[in-house]
Amino acid sequence: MDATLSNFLRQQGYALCEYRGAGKFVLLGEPAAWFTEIWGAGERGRVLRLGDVSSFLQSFLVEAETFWESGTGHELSSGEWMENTRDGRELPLECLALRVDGKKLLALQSRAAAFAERSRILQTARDGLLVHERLLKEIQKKEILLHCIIHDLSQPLTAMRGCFDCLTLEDASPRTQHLAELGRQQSEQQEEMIREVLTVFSADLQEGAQGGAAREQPEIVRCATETVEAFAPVFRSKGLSIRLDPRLAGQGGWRVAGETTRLKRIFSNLVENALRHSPSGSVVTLGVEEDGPCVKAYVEDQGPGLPRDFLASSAFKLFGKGREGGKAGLGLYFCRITVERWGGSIGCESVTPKGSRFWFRLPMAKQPAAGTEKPAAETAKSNAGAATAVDKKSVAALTANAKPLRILLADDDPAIRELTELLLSRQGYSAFAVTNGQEALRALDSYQFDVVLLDDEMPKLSGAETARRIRAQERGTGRHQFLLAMSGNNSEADKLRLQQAGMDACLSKPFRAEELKSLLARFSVQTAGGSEAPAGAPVPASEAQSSEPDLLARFGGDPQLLLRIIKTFLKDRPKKIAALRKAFNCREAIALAAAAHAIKGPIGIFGAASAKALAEELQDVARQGQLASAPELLRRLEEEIANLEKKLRGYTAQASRAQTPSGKRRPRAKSKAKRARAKR
Amino acid sequence: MLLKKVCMIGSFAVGKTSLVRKSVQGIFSETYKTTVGVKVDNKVVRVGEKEVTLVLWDLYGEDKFQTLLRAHLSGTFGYLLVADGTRLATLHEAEALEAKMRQEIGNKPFLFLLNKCDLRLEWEIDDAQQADLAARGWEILHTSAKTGEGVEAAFQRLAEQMLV
Repeated sequence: MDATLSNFLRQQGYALCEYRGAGKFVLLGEPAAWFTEIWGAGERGRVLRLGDVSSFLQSFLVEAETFWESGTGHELSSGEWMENTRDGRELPLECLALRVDGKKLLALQSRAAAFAERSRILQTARDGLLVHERLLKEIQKKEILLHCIIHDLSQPLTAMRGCFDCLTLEDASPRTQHLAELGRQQSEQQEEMIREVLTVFSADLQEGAQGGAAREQPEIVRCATETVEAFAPVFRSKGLSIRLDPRLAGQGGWRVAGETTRLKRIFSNLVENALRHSPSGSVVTLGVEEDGPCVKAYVEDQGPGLPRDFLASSAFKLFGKGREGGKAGLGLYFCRITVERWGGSIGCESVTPKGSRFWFRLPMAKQPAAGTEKPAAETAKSNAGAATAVDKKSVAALTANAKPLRILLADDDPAIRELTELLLSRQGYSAFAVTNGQEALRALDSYQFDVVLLDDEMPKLSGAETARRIRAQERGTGRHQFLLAMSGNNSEADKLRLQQAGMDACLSKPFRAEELKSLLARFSVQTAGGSEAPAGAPVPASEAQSSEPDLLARFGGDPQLLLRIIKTFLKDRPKKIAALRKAFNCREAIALAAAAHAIKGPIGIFGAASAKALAEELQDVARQGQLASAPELLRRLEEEIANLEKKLRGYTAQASRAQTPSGKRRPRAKSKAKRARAKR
Repeated sequence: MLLKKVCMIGSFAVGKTSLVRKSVQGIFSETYKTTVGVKVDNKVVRVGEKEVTLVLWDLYGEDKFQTLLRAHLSGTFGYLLVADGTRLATLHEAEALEAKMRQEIGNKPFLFLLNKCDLRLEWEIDDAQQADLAARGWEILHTSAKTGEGVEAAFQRLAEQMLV
C-alpha cells in the first residue's frame, strides 16, 4: 500500500485488512494504535486471525463472507460493538466489509470520541424518557391519592359536624351547648386545614387538572389518532388490529375540556383494557362522535363483552377491574376521576353481536354563542352552592306541597346516614334512608318523595349515575324529581359534573345543619310555588355578621373556660409569633402561610375580627408566593395581636379581682427566693 | 465445547446488561447506563454431562433511537427476552420484539424474563397478563439483577432448551 494512504488511514483511526480465506487476514499498511491493544503488534504483511480474539468479529465474518461472495452491494457494516483490550479496557469498534478491485477488505475503526458523544446523547434521551414515564405514573398515583384523601377525610368530618349539630339541637345545658359549638368550630378548623394541606400539596395537580385543562383544550380526534399509532405495533405483534372508526374520516376539530397528556392516558388505559380482552384476529376501534354539547369518545373491542349482571359503574371503582382478570384497578379508576374532574362522564356496555364499548363523554371546549348558553364554569358556579336557584320550570311542575317534605336519603356511610336522618327529623322532615343508588331507585319505584338526597360516591350505584337514571326515566313524562347531591368533591368541575348528571343542587360535605336546613327550606318554598327563601330562613353561619365580641358570651358564659383558653393562647402566642417571623425572615412562603393560618384560628375564637382578617390576608399572599405586602401585613397583624393580648390580660386581671370579695389581689405564693430570705 | 450464541433482547432500561453482568461478573449497579452497540461476554454452564459456552450478545435496547440490526441476530441459537415488571410498556415492546425475532431468525428457544422482581410491589404486569403469555407458549421467569433471584436459573434453563 502507498505510504501516504497508509498514514492517512492510521491517522483516521483505521486498520485495513485483506481477507485471505479460512478466517485469515493480512494487515495492509500501518494500523492505528488501538489495533495493537487488541490484536498485538501488527507489522505489515503479518497474517492475523481476527475472529480468534473477537467473538463479535467471528460472527460478523460469517456475514461478511456471504457479502464478499455475493458480489452485490458496496459494503456491509457491523454496527458498533465493544471489544476488550488486552489490559481489560473496553473500546468501541465498528467495521466495514468492502470489495475493492476484487479484493476482500475489512476496515476496522475505533471512534472513541464520536462513540462517547453518541452515548451521552442516547443516555440523556433515555433518562429523559424514563423520567417522563415515572412522572406520568406519579401524577396518576397522586391524583388517585388526592381524590381518596378528599373523599375519605370529608366523611368523618361530616359525621363530626352532624354530631355537634345534633348536640346543639338537644335540650342540653348551656355548657354542653357551648362545648358542642366549640367542637363544631374545631371540626371546621380541621376541615380548613385539610383543604390547605391539599392546596399546598396538590397545587401542581390542580394546575394540570383544572387550570391547565381550561387553557389547553386538546383536540380529541388527534389524541385518538396518536393512541392508535402508538399501539399499532403491539396490536400487530399479537395478531390484532387497531383502527380509527372509518366514520371519522374528514371529521374532527373537536376540542374538549381537558389536557392532552391525560386525555391520551385515558385513551391508552381504555385501549390496554380492550387489548387484554380481544381475541386473536379481532379489531379494536377508537371513535369520536358529537353528543349534544359534549363529545363522546369510545374504544370498542370484539371480545366476549361484559359479563352478565356486570355493573358498569363497578368497572371504574378504585381497585375495581374492568372485567375478569384485570390489573390493580387503577387505570379505569384514573379514567373516571379525570373525566369527571373535567365535567364529563364515563361508562361501558356490551355491544352486539359481541364485544364491549368503553366510552367517555367530555364537554366541548368551544364557546357558546352569546346569549344562548352560559359557559360551563359559570353554569357550574351558579348551580354550585346551597343557595342554588332551582329551575323554575321544574318548580312549576311540582305539586304545592309545603313542609314537611318527604325526603329520601341515600348514603353508604352509616354514621353520616344516621346523623343526616336525625338532623332531618329534628328539622321536622320525614326522612327515609337507604345505603346506595340502587336502593334509592327501588324506593322511588314504590314511594313518592319531594327531595332525594344523594351521596356522590356510593357502592353499586353512585349518586351521579342514580341521578342520570332518574332523569332518563323522567324523559317525556313532564315529571321532575328534586335531586340534591352531597359530595366531598367540592371543586367547580365536580359541581358541574353533578349538575350535568341531573342534580338540582349540590351540598358540599362536610355540611352544616344550617346549610341543609336552608336548602331544604328553599325547596319547601319552591314546592309551594314561591321563589324566595322564607323570611325566617336561617342564614348560613358563614354569611352571618359578627357582633362586637363579648368574650364571656363567646364561651357560653363560663368564665373558667374563658380563662383557661386565654391562658393557653397567651402561652402559645410567643411561639406562634416566632414561627411567623422565622418564616418571613427566611422568605418561606409555605411556612408563612401555615404560621398565619395557625394563629388565625385562636384569634378568631376571641372574635378579633381585624386581626383574623389580617392573618387571612397574610396567609393568602403567602400561599400565592406574593410576599411584597407581607412585611406590612405582618407588622399590622402583630399590632392587632398585641392589642388583643392587652385586652385579654386586662380581662384576666379583672376576672381575678372579681374572684376576691374585696377586690384585693389574692396573696401570691411566695417564690423560692422569698421563702429562702424569710428563713434567713 | 459447545458454543451457543444467545441474544439479550428487550426495551431500553429493562436490565439486560445488568443481568449479564450479574451472571458473568457477579456485579450489580443501581445506576442506569444505556448500552450503545453490542457487548459480547461468555458464560459457561453445564447441562447434564455437557459443558456449554453461552456467547451472550447484550444488544442495545430497541426504541425510537436505535433499532436492531439483522446482522446482529444471525447465528442466534436462543434468546432471553427481557421486560421490566414495573413498566407495562416494556411488555408490549417485548411482544413486538418476539414477533420480530420470529420473523428474522425463525422459531428459536427463548425465555421471557420479567426483571426487577425485587420491586414486585410496583409491578404493572399482573398475573392475568402472564397467564395470557403462558397460554401462548411463553416460558416466564421472574428475575432480579439486583438480588440475583432467578438469574442463574434463566441462563441454565435457556441452555437446556437449546440442547433439546
